[in-house]
Amino acid sequence: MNELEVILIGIGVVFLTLSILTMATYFFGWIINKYFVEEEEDDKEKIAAIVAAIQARGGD
Amino acid sequence: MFEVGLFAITWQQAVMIGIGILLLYLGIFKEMEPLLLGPIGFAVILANMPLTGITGEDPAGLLYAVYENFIGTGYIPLIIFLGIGTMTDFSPLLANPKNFLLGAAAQVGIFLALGLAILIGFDLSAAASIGIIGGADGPTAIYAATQLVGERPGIIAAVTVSAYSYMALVPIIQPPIIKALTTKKQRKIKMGKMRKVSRLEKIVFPIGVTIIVGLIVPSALPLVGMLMLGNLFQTSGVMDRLSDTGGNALMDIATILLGLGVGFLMTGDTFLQIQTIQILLLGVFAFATATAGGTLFGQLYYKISKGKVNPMIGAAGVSAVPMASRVVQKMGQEEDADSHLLMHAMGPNVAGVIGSATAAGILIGLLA
Repeated sequence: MNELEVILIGIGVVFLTLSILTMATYFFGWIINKYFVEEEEDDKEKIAAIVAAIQARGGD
Repeated sequence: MFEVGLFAITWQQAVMIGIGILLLYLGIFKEMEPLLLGPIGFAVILANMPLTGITGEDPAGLLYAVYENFIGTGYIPLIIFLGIGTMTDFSPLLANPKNFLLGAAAQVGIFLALGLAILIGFDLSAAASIGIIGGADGPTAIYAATQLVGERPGIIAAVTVSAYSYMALVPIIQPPIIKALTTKKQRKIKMGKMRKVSRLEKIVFPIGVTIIVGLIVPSALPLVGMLMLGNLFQTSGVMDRLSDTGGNALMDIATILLGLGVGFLMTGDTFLQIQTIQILLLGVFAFATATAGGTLFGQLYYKISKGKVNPMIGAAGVSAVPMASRVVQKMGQEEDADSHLLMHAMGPNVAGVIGSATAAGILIGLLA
């Protein structure tokens, strides 16, 4: 396998995989929210806590 | 026979001890990735002290044993990935799944750097290891390098140092690139509130990603699988003890072993070579083109959404979590104090983690 093939296959498969993940996430999200989850109220305090945790977190 | 180390030290060892002290200085006093640069810097000093046998193969010295058993096998980067999974909230991505593609776009930096490395004269496996720096993910870079060029410690060491250094330098490297590729008006764009993500979605997500990625790119499964296992510990809500251990104690142990193992690789004879400087420069190129790739794809979203998406969030598609998101948030607030882009940028950011692990898996599958 030559260098160009590796580059093209690499970029292609990354986009293919993440495109499939995009569609699957939309699909299962829709199914779950339509048939398995009742509406819940937004929890502003919880969102604020998540934002604070991201701001404080160290790198990987 | 007793020998005094002072008379046996080489200039390469002396230089490396200096580099070890520099890494400790950057970690402790400049707070650049201190949890990692601390152990690495100290291990570099240990590895380059003369006559200690600490890096010896027979009998196995401490650093040699740590590297051979934990890093060379790829286990430690994978355990760190489990820890990252316990700390990662995929909700911003679940709320807006199209951000997966911004995470994919930022991976072009990997392949552009791979191409440039080949043009400079590196062979394909080495070039792929260097390209992964553009994924902006330390554990992924180390794992890929050990799988692709396991017998060449100099390249693994340079890739590791490059990957972690540039992650710490995200706030310096990214802003000029983002500014060059966006207009002031675009940077001012405020994005709306995201939808709430249910607990069931968060539980199904890591299982689904594992199965899908495992079926398409089997060689990416060790990285993605461990990331998702850690995430399931967190999202399930019933494995708090495992989540806590994976994200804290286990992660800390793995980080210490990683530091010692990387230090083992950074001996004067393997690290002080022209190729190290080439790899460090290629790393900047990889990182910069990854940022550019994500931002340009963000521009595409801006056009498609008719100006509702701030294109800067594409730059967070590199998987330096959460530094890249913080950069976008800060740049947004510099233009408009009421702009809150952090959670919007976290979507592409966590997609980038999956994207870079997938890219690494593809290269391992093709070349290892």
